[in-house]
Amino acid sequence: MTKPDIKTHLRQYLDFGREAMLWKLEGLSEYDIRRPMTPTGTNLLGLVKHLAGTEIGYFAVTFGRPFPEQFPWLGADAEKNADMWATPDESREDVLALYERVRAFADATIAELPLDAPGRVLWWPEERANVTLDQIIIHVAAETHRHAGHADIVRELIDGTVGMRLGRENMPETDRNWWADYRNTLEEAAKTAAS
Amino acid sequence: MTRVIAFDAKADLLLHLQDARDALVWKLDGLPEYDVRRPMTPTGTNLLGLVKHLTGAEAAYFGAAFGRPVEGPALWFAGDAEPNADLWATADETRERILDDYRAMWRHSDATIAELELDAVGRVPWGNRQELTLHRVLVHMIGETHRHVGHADIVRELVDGSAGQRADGANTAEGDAAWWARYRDRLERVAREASGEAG
Repeated sequence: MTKPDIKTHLRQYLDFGREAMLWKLEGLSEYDIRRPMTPTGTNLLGLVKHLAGTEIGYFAVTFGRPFPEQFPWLGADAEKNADMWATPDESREDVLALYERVRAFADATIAELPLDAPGRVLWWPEERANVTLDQIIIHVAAETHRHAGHADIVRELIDGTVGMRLGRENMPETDRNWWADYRNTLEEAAKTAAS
Repeated sequence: MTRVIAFDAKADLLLHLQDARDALVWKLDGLPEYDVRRPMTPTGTNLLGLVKHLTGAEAAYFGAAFGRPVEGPALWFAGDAEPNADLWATADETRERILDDYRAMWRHSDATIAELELDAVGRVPWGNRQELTLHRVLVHMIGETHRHVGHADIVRELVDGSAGQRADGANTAEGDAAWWARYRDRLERVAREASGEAG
């Protein structure tokens, strides 16, 4: 086995999260990618927009490499949660293309800087604000995976589609009836345990 | 890469893993027995099952993979267990026991992490027994645990409306119930508009 390439592992897991997130929108109607599915409004296109903003913050601002575009929804005057949903004049294509540009920018930061390159996260507490690139990659990878987890459930609630990633769903091979029976088993077990 | 793997890289990875572990356990806090178990999606996603599943995942990745076997829930895809057996708790498995087992597994995993170098090589205990470094396993489990915490976030919110990143900081917009209701209505309207329906 060759010596582990730390940067490659980190990049790979960041990409797993990004790819899973994007996959969760595939094949859905305009309404379904935007509709809020929880009391706090969680929606698929908003998660992508949020992650685009996140990567600008962590891979551009933090390392003093300004992203060439500015967005009112990332500014200090933005209204609450403006980065968590797409307005009617932001098309699906706009948001996905932005995420793609931001990813390319972030990947360039990762490629060009060494893992111990110093950065400063302006919105973190002072004692943690000085960071290195490796820390930031794992932080953004973790955040992306958590949001991909949100997307997993939101997508399942919309149309029943599930899975870890394209080509590797990582779900048991069963049919719809099996799942209905399984879910009933769990519901009954929950009631028994609670009684 | 020529960079020497420093101790603080390991500490930082462990911090990110622990952050997700703590968040998951917190997602069950204050819920009655039924709510920690009830399936909230068509494929049965439930909070206690996520804890049980991640206990099994840590046993496999930080235990068996590095020749440090430990008893844990059998992952359904890795052996003879019935499909999804590790993703829900039977009525006679108590919540206390499942949470205690998860925390005990952290200690076993943390000992593996402490005692081995990040470039120590293990083998996943299934399939073609692919070789993995401890670094890669840590990054994998950080990703996997965070993704399942994302599931727990939504399941918990659907159960009782609670949301938030971690116990000591919600990291969500500040608004009362009325604000969130208006916000959600607005998103619903916008989604309909964007799809060409009358708003």
